[in-house]
Amino acid sequence: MSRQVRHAAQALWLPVVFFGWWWWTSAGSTSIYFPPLAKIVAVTWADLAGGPLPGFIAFSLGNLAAGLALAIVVGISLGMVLGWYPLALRLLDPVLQFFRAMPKVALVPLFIGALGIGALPKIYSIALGCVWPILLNTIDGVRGVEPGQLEMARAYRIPLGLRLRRVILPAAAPQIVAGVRVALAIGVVVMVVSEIYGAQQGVGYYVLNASRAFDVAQTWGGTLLIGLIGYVLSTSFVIAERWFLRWHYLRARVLGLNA
Amino acid sequence: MHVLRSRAGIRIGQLAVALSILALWELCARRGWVDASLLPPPSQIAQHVAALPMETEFWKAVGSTLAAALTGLVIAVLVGVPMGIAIGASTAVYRSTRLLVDMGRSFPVVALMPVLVLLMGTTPKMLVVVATLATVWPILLQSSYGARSVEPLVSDTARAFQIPARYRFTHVMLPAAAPYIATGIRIAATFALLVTIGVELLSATPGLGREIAQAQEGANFPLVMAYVFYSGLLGLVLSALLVRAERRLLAWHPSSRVAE
Repeated sequence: MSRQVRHAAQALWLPVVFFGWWWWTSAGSTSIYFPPLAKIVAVTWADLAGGPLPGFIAFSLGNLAAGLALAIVVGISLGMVLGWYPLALRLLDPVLQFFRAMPKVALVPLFIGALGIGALPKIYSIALGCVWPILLNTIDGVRGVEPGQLEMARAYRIPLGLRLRRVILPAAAPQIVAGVRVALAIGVVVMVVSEIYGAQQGVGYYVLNASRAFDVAQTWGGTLLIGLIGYVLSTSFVIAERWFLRWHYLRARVLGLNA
Repeated sequence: MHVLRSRAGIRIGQLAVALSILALWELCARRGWVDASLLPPPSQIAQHVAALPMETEFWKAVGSTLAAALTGLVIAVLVGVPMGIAIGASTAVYRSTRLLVDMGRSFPVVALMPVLVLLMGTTPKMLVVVATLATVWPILLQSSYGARSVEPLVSDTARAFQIPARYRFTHVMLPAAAPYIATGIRIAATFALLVTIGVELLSATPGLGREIAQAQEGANFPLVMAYVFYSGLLGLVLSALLVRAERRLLAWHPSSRVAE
């Protein structure tokens, strides 16, 4: 057995056993609350193939993408300014700490109350939840740039715009990307909350609606689907992160070997 | 600018910045430049912030939210720490469980709310289950990282001396993993509060979240903000207390000595 096959087997056997066990033990279930997994999958599949789910997923993911994009733009630009001017950062610090500590999900009702149950208040809620880790990580990243690199860039009189793009942003990138990773997880939570609180579409609405209709299999199915979406998003982000920052990992490995 | 070099100068500057932001906000809200249902004037919020601690309703809500969040956290610690250490102690177990742990960790627990309400109703017990499910993952993960951080020399020595597994857990693994576990608990504590409040908000289970939802339905927006303020304050106080406890309990650990 080659090494890769062995690793794959090692990683996969437990999930296979777990879901197999669930499928097997729930097969003849007559409990109202724990329907057979086969039924859950069948119901969800039907809604995916010819039902409302594809549109709902598109709505949810669209809001998440828009909110996260907004948070990235605001968080990185504000973070670079505040990381660059330590005085501004120190003066704003208590205000930032305070807003960071606000529970973002608690603000969802205000947004939806003021702006209605469409997509926009959801996008704003998601952006507000996502912006803090990105902002704080960008600040840390910019402040952590090696002084030597900055002095070198200044000595060669590299213009500020170029310095920001080519020196500071790449040096801060690993930290910023880590902030975006945290933000993505928060974004998924806020997305679901905003759709359960008030919506007429989206995966959160799908689950809530199913539970109101007392369709237990559909409720479970929607819940598992949201879990799957969360898992796929976070896994693909990690893969994208490795690719995007491959130069950073390479450098860390080389430096680690030299040390 | 040299006024701002001294420590007192910085404090005054911070206060001035915070006050001018509040003043600007007040002005925008009063003039109707922003929607008052989205950003009610800070003066009205302050009135509610001052009035809330006089009401027993408020303390009841704080109590039930805190009780659910902390009970969930304690259960998560009791389950997550031993499991995390067991997972981290063996590479084979770590690799085998990784996929399931990744799935569990990336699961947005609020999505379980409708299912749990069907199963258990809008009860404090349901909140505890939510808080446990939300917090067990960071604790489990941090514990497994902690167990993996045990130096091979130390664990090999313990094994060579045939120290029983029970003692290996309490005297080798647990102390080495302690700082990681502490970080996990700190992350989990604010998370427990957040998720509890979120689920109360959505399911109308008694607690701070339900108060927020009710204030919103009554179109009392300054009251919503006052509750949001106290929710944030609760999180800040909780994490400050945990940081202090962590410093005291882990004073012996090399990692905190280096930091001092």
